[in-house]
Amino acid sequence: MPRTPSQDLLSPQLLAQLERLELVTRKVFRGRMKGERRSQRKGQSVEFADFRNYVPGDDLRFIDWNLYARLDRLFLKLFLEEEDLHFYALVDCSRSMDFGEPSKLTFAKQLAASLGYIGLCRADRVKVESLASGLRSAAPSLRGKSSLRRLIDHVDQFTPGEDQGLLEGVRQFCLRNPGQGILVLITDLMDKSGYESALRLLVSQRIDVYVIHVLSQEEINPEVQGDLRLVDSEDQDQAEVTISRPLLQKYERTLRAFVGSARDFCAKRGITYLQTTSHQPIDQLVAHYLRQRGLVR
Amino acid sequence: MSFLNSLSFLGWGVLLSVPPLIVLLYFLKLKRAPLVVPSTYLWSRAIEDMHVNTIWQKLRRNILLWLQLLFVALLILAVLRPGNQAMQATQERLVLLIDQSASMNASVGSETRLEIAKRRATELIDGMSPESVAMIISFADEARVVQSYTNNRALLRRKLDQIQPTNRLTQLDEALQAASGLANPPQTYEEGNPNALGLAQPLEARLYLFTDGGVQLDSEFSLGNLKPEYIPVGNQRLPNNVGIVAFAADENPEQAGQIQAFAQLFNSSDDPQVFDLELFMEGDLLDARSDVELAPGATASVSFDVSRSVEDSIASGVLKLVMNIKDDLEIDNMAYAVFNTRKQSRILVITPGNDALELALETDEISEFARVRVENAEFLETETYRNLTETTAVDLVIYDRCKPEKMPMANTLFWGQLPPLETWKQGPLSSPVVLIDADETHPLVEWLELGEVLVAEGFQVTGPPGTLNLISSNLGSVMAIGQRLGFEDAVIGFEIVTATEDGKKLANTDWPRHLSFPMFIQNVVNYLGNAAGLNAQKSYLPGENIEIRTVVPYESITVEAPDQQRKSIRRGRQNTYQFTDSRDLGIYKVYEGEDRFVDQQFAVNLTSREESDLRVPDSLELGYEEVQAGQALELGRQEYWKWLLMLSLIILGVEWYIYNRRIYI
Repeated sequence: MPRTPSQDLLSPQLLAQLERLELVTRKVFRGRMKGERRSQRKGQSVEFADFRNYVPGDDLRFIDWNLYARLDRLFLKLFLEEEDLHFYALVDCSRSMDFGEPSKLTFAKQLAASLGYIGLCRADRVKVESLASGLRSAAPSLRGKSSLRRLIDHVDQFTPGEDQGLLEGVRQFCLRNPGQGILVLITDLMDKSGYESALRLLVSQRIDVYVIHVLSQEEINPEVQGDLRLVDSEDQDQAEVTISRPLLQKYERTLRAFVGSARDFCAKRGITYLQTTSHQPIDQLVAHYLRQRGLVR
Repeated sequence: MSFLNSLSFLGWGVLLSVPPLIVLLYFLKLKRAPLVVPSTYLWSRAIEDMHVNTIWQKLRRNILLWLQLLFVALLILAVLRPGNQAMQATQERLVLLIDQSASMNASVGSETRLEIAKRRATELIDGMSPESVAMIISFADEARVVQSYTNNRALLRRKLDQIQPTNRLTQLDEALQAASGLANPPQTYEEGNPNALGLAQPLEARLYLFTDGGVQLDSEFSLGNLKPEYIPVGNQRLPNNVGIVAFAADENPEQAGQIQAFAQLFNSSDDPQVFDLELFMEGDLLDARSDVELAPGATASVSFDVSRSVEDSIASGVLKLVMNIKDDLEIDNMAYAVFNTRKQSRILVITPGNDALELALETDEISEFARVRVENAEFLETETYRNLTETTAVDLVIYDRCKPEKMPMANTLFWGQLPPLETWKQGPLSSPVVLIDADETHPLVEWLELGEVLVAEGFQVTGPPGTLNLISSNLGSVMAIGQRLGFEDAVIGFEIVTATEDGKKLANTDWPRHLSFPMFIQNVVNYLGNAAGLNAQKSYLPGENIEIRTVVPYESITVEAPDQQRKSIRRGRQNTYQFTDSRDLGIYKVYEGEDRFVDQQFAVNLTSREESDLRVPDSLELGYEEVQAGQALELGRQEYWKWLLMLSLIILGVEWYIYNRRIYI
């Protein structure tokens, strides 16, 4: 039986597990189309929600005439609105994502596909992009479970090294997608120019931002020895180090500080931050950690 | 703080090439293995604080390199031998007197005393402050300035190394004179003389005397500005030496037909010594004494009697005395004595008739060594006479009351007549003649007792300049001997027999009746007749000036030293040849003229009690000062190289630790 891309990224068991979940946003967004999602806005569904006083200009069709008859006052009947959600997944495809076992990029692609599949199941508008998408044809905006194959095919095209930098990628993304919704940024945040401005740019949009910070095992606990010339996979920058215990301890402290500062930065700006490793099982991550963070339920 | 250079150019080249080599090797070593990582972002931040100061960062990163360089730098510094002069370091002048006399050949362990002296002197030179200057003088029986004042240590060391041992005696006067040249300039001062200001200022100098004692000082010497330090050499252990301090051989005067050899032996060790003595003649063992015992510090005489029965073989030859003992000084365990061939002397006597003279010439002793031919005055006119006297066919011509027209090519003795030369003058004929004295130092008239000899008449004799007065009388000199072209002419101012006018013989003196007359004739034959003088040749000391006489006055002779080296010597005044090159011990052979055969031999022996005595005194008397044995060498420099070496070893240890533990500072 030929292997399909979906089997590489998402196993049937995982798909089955994902079908039971749905994406959640803490912010109120106006969907463009009716969706399966019960909106926090009051709308025109059949499900009653509440009453409110009539103010001139309200649609007369929603006046509860029965109540007017009884109380001689005009009330408006409010119904629950059901609407769709814009879900964006933004995958960092820089060369540094190509490390780890499995690689961080594979992990990111799996995660993006998984979350995208959750959105498709709930009739949300799903768009999975890489940071390099501005360089390629625009990502399709998908809807409905049947779009799973297109989603996976698209995600599968992501290759490491077509990056244009975190900030530039985010800026391109914002220009292309001015709408509201949920954005999951899957990245390792290893950008020499800093991740802060990129995140600030995202915060300024009206989107609910989640940052999933992926690190590989070799970044968390590097197993290196001797006199080394470390070559940066992205910009070929070199750092000559002589590995020693104190240096490794120093590296560990630096990594902790890096992760901590990213968490603080996100927390202050209302960004949900989750640090994970590339060898973390996707189902566990989605079912436990993301649920805890409130991204899915 | 000062530095001493203790390496040659080559050494410096090698040492200074080490640091660049280390840097080079370090760069080779630091070919780090490249490793591609996702991002150097975190690494760079981990080592970010090292980028604060690039040089400091490099320094820290290359801590091993710096440690290695520091180690080598410390080594170089140690080689430069930094140090402080413990004493005053200002412009010291050192004079090193190195004894190279025979006794310095004595071995002390594996070294000879001279080598020890040179080594210690080298240490002293190494310890000199850079401002100091030093001068090296080597001395034995004569002194030589090996190197005049200089501060060039390499030159001093090289010159010091060139000092060779000799077989000579120890005489310090000349060396001290040379050393005191600058320290004690001649001070002549005249009142009111403006030039007196230009007199050399005396410069104080330290005099280091490296010797084993046995130093002889003939003159009273004032050290003046010389500050003496006596550094005894060879006193590390007690000496062990027995030496031959005298060796001579001669005919036994009491027993004709025997040759007697005398040796004097001296034990300078603190233990009694037992050894064998062997006497060789031309390589053949002639006699031996076994188990000769000598008490500590004692001197003993040994004599050997060699029978005349082997006289034919020992008429000319070399006696060698060997002491079979293993001691510190080898060269005094052997001595030589030489017999030269006794020549037949050819004597021509021209006399109108002189029984006393003819009788005296017929003794056994004389007839053995001389062929005497007696002729009357008419013989002077014959062709035979001319042939004999013009070709040195005779050694001596005695003219009794006659004289030739021309002086012969031979020694002459004129009796009652002057030679036919204007340089000889006679006084008026006087009577009586009272003989007063004879010059006993001259071999011609030695041992003569002339006090009772009566002379009826005679005249005073005066000769050319340089003439020696042999017999003095109331008239003045009545016998004199003078020089003539390598020959000697003796003139006696009185006759033995006078012929009266009627032809009768009349005694002029009663000398022939005295014992002194045949002795005089014997002396005449031996000395003027060249009857080889002594049978046994005198032995000389090394370095001694040797006067060689030949029978015939050759233009030059050739002397062959024991090491086969030949040296030609031109004739000097008085028909003698001065040989000054008696450095080596052993037998010297003399070739007269163009001869291919050895005509004479003489021996040079180290028969000196001072040199054989290897005991090193605790103090020396130099002039008016007594100098105690010192260890002045310890007072030189305080050197720091040991500390530097220790520090560099610590650095090496730290480097090793860092390398192994991979400590990252």
